[in-house]
Amino acid sequence: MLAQFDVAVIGAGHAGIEAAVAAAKRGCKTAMFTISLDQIGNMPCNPSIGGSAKGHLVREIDALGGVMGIAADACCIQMRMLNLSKGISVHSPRAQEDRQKYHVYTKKICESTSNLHIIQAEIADILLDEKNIVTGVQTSFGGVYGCKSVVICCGTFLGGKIYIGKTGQESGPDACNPARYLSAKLRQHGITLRRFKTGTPCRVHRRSIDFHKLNPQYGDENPQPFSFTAKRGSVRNDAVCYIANTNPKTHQIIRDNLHESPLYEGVIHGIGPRYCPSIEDKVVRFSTRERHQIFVEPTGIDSEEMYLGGFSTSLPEHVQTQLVHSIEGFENIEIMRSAYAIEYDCINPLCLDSTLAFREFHGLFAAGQFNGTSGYEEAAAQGLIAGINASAYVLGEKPLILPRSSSYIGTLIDDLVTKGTEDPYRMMTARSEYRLSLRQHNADARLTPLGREYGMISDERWAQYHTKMDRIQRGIEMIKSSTVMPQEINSILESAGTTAIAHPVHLDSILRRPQVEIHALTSILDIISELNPDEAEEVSNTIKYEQYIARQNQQNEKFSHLEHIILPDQLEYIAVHGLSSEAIEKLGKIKPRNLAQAARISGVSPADIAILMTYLKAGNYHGT
Amino acid sequence: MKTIAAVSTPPAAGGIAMIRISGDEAIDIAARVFHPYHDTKITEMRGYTCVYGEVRQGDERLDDGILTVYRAPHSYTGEDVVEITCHGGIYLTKRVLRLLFEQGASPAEAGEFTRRAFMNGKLSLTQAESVMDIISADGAAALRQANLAREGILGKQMLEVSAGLIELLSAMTYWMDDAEEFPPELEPERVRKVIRGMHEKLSGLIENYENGRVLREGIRTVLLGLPNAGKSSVMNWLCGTDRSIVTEIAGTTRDIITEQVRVGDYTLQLSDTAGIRETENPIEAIGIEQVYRALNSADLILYVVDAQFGLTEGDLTILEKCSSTKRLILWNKTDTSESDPPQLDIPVLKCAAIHESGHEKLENALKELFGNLSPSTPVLLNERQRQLAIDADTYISTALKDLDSGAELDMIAVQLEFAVQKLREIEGGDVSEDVINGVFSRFCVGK
Repeated sequence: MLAQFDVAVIGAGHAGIEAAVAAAKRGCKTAMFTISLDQIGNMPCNPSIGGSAKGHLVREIDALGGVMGIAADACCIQMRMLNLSKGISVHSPRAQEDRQKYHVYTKKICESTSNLHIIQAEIADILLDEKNIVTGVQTSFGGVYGCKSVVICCGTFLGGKIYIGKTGQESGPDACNPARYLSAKLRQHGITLRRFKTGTPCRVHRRSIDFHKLNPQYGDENPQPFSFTAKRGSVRNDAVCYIANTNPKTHQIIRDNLHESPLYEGVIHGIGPRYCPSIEDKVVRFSTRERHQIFVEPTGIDSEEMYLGGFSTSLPEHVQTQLVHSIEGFENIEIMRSAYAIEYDCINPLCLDSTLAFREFHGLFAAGQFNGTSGYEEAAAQGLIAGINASAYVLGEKPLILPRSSSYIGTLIDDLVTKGTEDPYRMMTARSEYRLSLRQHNADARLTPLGREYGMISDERWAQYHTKMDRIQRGIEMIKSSTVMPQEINSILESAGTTAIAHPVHLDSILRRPQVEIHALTSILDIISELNPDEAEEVSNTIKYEQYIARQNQQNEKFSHLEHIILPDQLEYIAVHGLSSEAIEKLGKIKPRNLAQAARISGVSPADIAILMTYLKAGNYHGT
Repeated sequence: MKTIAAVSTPPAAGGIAMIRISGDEAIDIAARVFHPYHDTKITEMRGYTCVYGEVRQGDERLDDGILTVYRAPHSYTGEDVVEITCHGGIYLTKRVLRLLFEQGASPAEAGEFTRRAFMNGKLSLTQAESVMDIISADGAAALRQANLAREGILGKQMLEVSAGLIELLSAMTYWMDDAEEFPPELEPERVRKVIRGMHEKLSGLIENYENGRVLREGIRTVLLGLPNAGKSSVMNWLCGTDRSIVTEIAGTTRDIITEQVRVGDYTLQLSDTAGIRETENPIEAIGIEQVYRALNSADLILYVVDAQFGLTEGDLTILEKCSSTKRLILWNKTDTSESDPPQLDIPVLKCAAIHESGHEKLENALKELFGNLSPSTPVLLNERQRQLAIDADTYISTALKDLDSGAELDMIAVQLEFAVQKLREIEGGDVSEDVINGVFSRFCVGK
C-alpha cells in the first residue's frame, strides 16, 4: 500500500475541490486524485460562475465555509447582479472568470490546505471488503491507497467520449484523458450507470470579431462579491461581454446539415440537459424564432480566446465554420477550439441517501455531474456536503443534512435523492417552495452557524458574522419600534410617489410600501445611515417582505410537520397494510428519511402518507 | 395541531347528525357558533358534560341541538373535542360545518380523527390496523371520486384553471430564471387579465356549488305576496292537492307549509307563507316572522300579485326587501282581470292559479332564472372541494391585490403556486415539476 488516508476524493473539479478541502479542514487526512494536476478547478465550458439560482448556490457554499465563492471573487473579471428588476428572491450574482487564473488559484488553495494531499493518478477501482465497507482505491497502474471513505467526483471524465459530427473519440473534457476503467468496476460492485450528454460551444479569437456590430455588456458599478470575506467593489470588474444574434441564414445552414449531427442521427444516446440545448435543438424546436442570442464572453485576461455562450453544437467542423460566419460580426471569425458534445457515465442519484452516501455501501459518497447534475455550482454544492459527510463518517460524527427550508443546496440534494432526475439537473429558483426566504443575500444568516458547527468557519469570520447579524437585528428592531409624524415623513412620501399620512404611524409600515427605499429614511432614523449597503438591504428586505414570507411559511408548515416524522431505515413497507403497490416499491427503493420526503416521491399518494403516519404512530405508541 | 371539523354521521338525510370538532381551539370555535339556552359558558364546561342550545349564524338560528365537551386527553382523538348533535339533513349540517370553517376550523381529511387518535396514543395496535382498513377504503373511495371528477366537467374546469396558472407560472419562472427576453404574456395588464379570469372561473365554480346543491337538494322556494293575493291557490296548482286551506278571508295561512314539487328538471322545496301584512293577531305575527327567516335562506321567491289590484306600494316594498334573491312575479287571477303588469326588471309570469294545470310555463321561467340544471353543469362535489376552491381563490385574490400594490413577480408567483397546490389537492400532481416542464416545453432557454 502506497499510503493510508481517511478520505479519498476522486476528481479535482468543482465538486472534488470542495469535498477535499472540507474533509481536510475538518481534520481528516485527505487525498485528492486527479487525472491531470493541470486540470484542477478547470472550467471546460463557460468561463463564468453564478447566474440565476446558481448564484444562490455559490453564496450558500461560501456561507458554509466552502471554496467557490472566495475563488470566484479572486479570479473575477466582470461581476453583475442578475434579475435586479424581478424581485429580491431571484437576485442572483454572476461573475465572468479568468479560467486559467481560476485553475491556478484553486490549485494553490488545495496545495496550501494542511491534511490535503494532491495526487495525479487515474483511479481504476474502489476497494471494498466483504461487508461493502470502503478500504481503499487502486490506480490504473495498480497502485493501492488505503482509505476509510471515498467521494466520487469524476464529472464528465467517467467513460467520457466527445463527438464532433459523427466522429466520436474517447476523451475527457478539454482533450484530457477520460477515466477509462472505473465504470466497469463500479458496475461490478453493483452500481447501475447510465449515460448523460452535454456540450460546449466553440472558442474563437478575439481579433477576428467585429465588436462594432455587437452589443456590449458591462459589469455592475460597485458590485457585490460572492464571499462574505470580500469587500463590496473589491473584485476586478473591467471585462466586457458582447451579445450577437443568429439569423435565418444560420438556421437554414443548421436545417440543411442536421443529417451530420450525431444527436439527430442517433449516434449519441446520452440524455442532454433540457435547459442548455444545442443550437440545433433550439432551431428545430423553436422553428418560428428568427434569432437566438449568442453571448460572447472573454475567457481570461491573458487569453484571446472568446467563448460563444448559447451556441453549443455537435455539428462537424466545416458546418461550424459556416454557421459562425453567417452571423453578423463573425464574418471573418477564427475558431480556436471547436464545439463538441460529450457523453459520460453517471448514476441515478436515487441510490444515494440525503448525506450523498450510497445506501448499499459504507463510506462511499458521490457528488457533482456523476450524480446526474450539471453546472459547476451544483457540483461544488454537492462536493461540499459530501466532503463534510465523508469526514463525519470517518470521525464518527453526525452528518450534515440541510432541510429544504434552509437552502437551495438542501433542495438540490433532496430533489436528487427523492425525485431523481431524468436529464442533467440544473438548479432553478422555481424548484424551491421556500424561495422567498432563501435569498442570495441572507445566505450567511441561514447557513454560517451550521458551517461553524461543522468546523468550516474560522474564529475571525465567526466574530465578523456576529457583528453583521447584530447590526442587522438592531436596524430591524429600531425601525419597528420607531413612530413617525406626518410632518417628518410626508415630503419623503411625496417624492417617492406615494400617499401622505394623516396620523403618526410605525416606521416599518412606511418601509413596507413598495415605493419607499430604506435610504429615503436616513433623515428619520440615524441608525440607517450607519448600516453598510449590504446590511441596509437585508434590514429592508426583512421588513418589506415579512408578510409575504409569513404567508409562504404558513403554507409550507403542513410539510415541515411531516419533516419531523422519521421513517426508520429498516421499515418493511410491504408489511404496512393498505399501501399501494407502487408506493411500496418506490418507498422501498428510495428509503425516504421522513414523511415529508416520502410525500414528494411521485407515485406516493396522500392516502399512502396517511397510512404510514398511522402505522408509525401506532408502532411508536407500543414502543416497537 | 390545527383544529379540524367534519360531519361524523353518514352524509344522508336522517333524523340526527353529529358534527365533531377536534384540536386546540375546538372549544373556542364551538363557543362562537353554539349558544346555550341556559347561562352555561361553553369555554368553562368540564369534560364529559353537555348542554342544550342553538347554532346561530349571526342572528339567524340554524338549528337547536346538544353540545358535548370532551377535554384533552380524555376524548376520541386525545385532543379537546366538541360534538354537536343537531337535526339531520345534508343541507343543515353543511351550513353548520361551513360556519365552523368560517370560525377557523379546517376540514378534516379522510380518517384524520382516527389518525390523531393514534398519534395521541388513544388506540391500540389491533384497533389501529382495523381502522387502517377503513382509512385505505376511504382513500380508494376518494380516489374513485377524484377520478370521476377528473373525467367530468368539474375536473376539466379545475384543470383549465390550474393549467392557466401553470402556463403563467412557467412564463414567470422563465423570465425570472433565464434573463433573455421579456415574455409578452407577462405584460402587467395581461397578467392581471389572466389572473382575474382564473378568479372568475373559480368563484363561478364556488357559486355553482350552490347550483349543485340546488340540483341535488332542490330550489328552496318561498311563496310570497300580500294577503289573499292567491298564494295558497298557487301552492295547490303546483302541488296538485288542496294542501293549503284556500278561503276568502285574508290571513288564513299561518304556518309555513313545505312541499316538494317537481317542475320539469327542477325540484322546488316550496314554502307557502303567511300573507305579509301588519297584523295584530299574535299567531299570525309568528307566521310573518318565520317568513322573513325563510326569505334569508331562499333560492327563489315566487311573488304572487293579484292582477285586480296590480302592484301596490306594499308589494314594491317587500320585493325590494328581498332583492338579493332570485324573484319571479306570478301575475295571478288573470281570469278576473285584464290588467297588464308594469315594466319591471323582475320576470313576470301571468297565470290564473285556480284554473291552471301543468307546469310548462313555470318551467320555462325557471330555465331563464337558473339556467339548464343538467347534471353536466360543473359542480364542486363536496364541502372539502368547496373549501379547497375557496382557499385557492383566496390565494389568487391575494395575488391580484399584491399585483395592484406593486409587488414583484416573485411574490405573485408564490401565491399562484399555492393556489395551484390547493387545486391539486382536488386533482393530485406535483406543481413545481409541472411549472418546470412548462418552462422547457414553451420557452427557448439556456446559453
